[in-house]
Amino acid sequence: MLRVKGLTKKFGKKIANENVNLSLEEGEIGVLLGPNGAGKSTAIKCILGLLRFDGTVKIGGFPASSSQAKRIMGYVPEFPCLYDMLTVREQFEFVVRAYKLDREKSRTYAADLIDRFRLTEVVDTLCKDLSKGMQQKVSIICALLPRPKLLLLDEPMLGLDPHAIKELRQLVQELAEDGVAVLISTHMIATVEGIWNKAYIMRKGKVISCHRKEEMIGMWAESLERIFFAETESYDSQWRYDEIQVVPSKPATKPASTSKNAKPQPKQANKSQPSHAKAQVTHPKTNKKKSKKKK
Amino acid sequence: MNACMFLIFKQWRNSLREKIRHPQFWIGALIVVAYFALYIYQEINHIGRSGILDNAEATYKGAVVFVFLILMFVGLGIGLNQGNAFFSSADIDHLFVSPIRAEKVLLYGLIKKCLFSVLATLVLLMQLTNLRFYFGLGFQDLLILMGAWLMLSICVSVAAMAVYSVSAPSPVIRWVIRLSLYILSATIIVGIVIALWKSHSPWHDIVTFFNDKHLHMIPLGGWTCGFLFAAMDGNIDHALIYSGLMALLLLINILLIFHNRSAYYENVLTTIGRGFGKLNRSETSSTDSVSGKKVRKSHLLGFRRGEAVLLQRQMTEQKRSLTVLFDRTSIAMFAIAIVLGAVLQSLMRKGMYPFIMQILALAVLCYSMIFLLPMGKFVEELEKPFIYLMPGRSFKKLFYVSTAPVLKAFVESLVCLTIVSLFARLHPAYVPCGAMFYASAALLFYACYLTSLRTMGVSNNRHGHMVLSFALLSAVFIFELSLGTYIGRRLYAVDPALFVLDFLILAVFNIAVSIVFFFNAKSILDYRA
Repeated sequence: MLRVKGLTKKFGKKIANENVNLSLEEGEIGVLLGPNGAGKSTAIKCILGLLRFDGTVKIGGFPASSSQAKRIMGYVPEFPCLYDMLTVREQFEFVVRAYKLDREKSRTYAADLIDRFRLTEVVDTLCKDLSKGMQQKVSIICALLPRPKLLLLDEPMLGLDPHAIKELRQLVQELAEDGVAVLISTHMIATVEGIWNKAYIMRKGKVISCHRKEEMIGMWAESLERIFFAETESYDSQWRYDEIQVVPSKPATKPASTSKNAKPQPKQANKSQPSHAKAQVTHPKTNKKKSKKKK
Repeated sequence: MNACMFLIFKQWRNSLREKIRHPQFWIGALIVVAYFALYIYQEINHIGRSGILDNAEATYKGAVVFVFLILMFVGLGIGLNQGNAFFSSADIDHLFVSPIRAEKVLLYGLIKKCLFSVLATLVLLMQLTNLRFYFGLGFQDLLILMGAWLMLSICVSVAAMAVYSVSAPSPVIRWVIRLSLYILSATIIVGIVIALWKSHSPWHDIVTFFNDKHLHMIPLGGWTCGFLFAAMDGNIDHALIYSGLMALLLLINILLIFHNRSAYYENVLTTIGRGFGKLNRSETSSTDSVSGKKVRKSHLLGFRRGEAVLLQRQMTEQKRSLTVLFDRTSIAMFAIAIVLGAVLQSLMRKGMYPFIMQILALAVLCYSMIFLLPMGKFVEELEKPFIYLMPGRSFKKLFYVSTAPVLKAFVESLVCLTIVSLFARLHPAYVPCGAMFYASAALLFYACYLTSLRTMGVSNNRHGHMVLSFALLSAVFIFELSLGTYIGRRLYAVDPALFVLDFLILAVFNIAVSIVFFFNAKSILDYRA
């Protein structure tokens, strides 16, 4: 459903995304994890066709910016931006008109979603008068109304109440069962724990590893949170190694990464550092002391 | 109704419904109705009468060229700089990602933009009586004028959109278009200055300058004027040529828009402040910044403590955005000063008293300043929680918040008054004294705004605050005028050169009034929090 090959996005000299490769099949829930500024939102905007980029993005076989691709794609932005001067009902009607959907079917579906997200009382309220959480719920319904085959959610849980988070998680799982591919970008790992099939971990604009859930079962890193911290911290520490010339340390005691699609970084490859090398990281201060002693 | 039309109609209807609930709308509506009534009364009263001015035709033509060129520059400037003039954040998340064709999305942006032209057309309609009465325009002339106006409105909107879609993907193209606009406007200003250089009748020479047929060669504004004047003179051939040129330009612009249809998305994101590019441009260090990278120095921040950090922060922001004490509006002020200097020079040759020229220069500059004063920064600061939460005295906090723009006004006026003084050979002491007055007027403006906030209470109605602060400012200025006249007369009697001290005294008066207003308004930091 989604194929991203060699996506590179530069803003002037700054590289926001570098050679990002992603793929999602129908019914798969992919999560894009990474700290702030890792390039998750930029990657999603490129997939949506909102930003110019180098590389290929195909959605259901169509180029990202084509209207065929847009027709089968739903998007929930990081910050809900609705038309202030439309009521919730009108907002939905606009989506129905924009996607040229069947009115009766959409009305029924919208009523169901409104009920699930407990928005019944505010359907005739102007969007500007809604709270942020409510706006986020409206935004989610807007994305779901066209019944997309690919759903892109950029930090969808931000501002939602626990009930809505539970509902959204359930909804995402239902959609996946119906064959919808879902890509969730988040740094709130707990909210996607248990529903993901594929996890892409991003750091400094690159996908540093990709994990499939079925490959993780029974392994120490089954928890997404553990995978995330292991991957990102080892990546960071390797960066630090590059700068301060670390003394060689003991080999890894934990099992090596099961990352499959992750492209090795050129510097990493030379160092032959395992990806879960947190235990081996020598503190920079200690290194400095050692180097002083040597002198 | 398609989705875009649905969006325009429903938003317009809902905003109207929302507005009629507020009394401010009814006050505004009352003013418009009163203006209409006055217009109709004037129309009835003036039937069969006329008070045609001397040199009416040339004045009318000069004024039309001036207004049309200004409209052109403003329109193209909007197209060059502001993606959010056409699209909003909601458009990005809902319209851009929808399967609606890019051309339709652009058309939607264009229609939204053109709605503002409708309001401008209404304003012109209100002036038809005056045009008929003072310039002797017949029914046919008025019809041609309206036609030219509509032609320009549509063409400028389309051209703005075309400039926007062309310049969005390439910073180089944007830079080239901006440079050419600057060069064109600079050429016109230089032309005015040259026209006035040795002039003995400045008004007549400005009118003559704008009647120059070479100006009709400028695309859009100039061509529309060419069409208008040719049609009014009954020169059908020329009118057809100019209207043909306009139609050709319109066609090229539409083609450009269609050709670059998908290139504008990123630019809108950046303009609205949601793009990574914006982040990159401001060079804000992200949380990922690796140690060892070049870190931006904080410049003035951290130089002093306490309430002064508000000033330092503003100055640091200004320095990062462009310069510490100048911004883009300063360029406009300098341009105004140059033209003003040229006018004053010709007045000087006619034997105008220097003290009148000094008053005139400050009056024009202060009046322009009101429109160009960066009110936004000041108001933004009051909308952020930091000023309410940080420890310190309320008066000092308010004082420091307003200091950066006042300092900017002071330095800006030093340059402007130097230009004016060089042109009109005014007393050198006029420059610092006038600059003090100018800066104190800026301070007074902020003080009046704070007083309006204090008076109207917690309200987000910025227009209401602006109206009240303008009324307050006018009241202070009227009193100041009589005070200045009284003191100025006495100083002038002692020695004409001493007249400049009058501005210094008035500056002190302004500062004193501002301090009183600041003290009065300081409690807003308590109750607004």
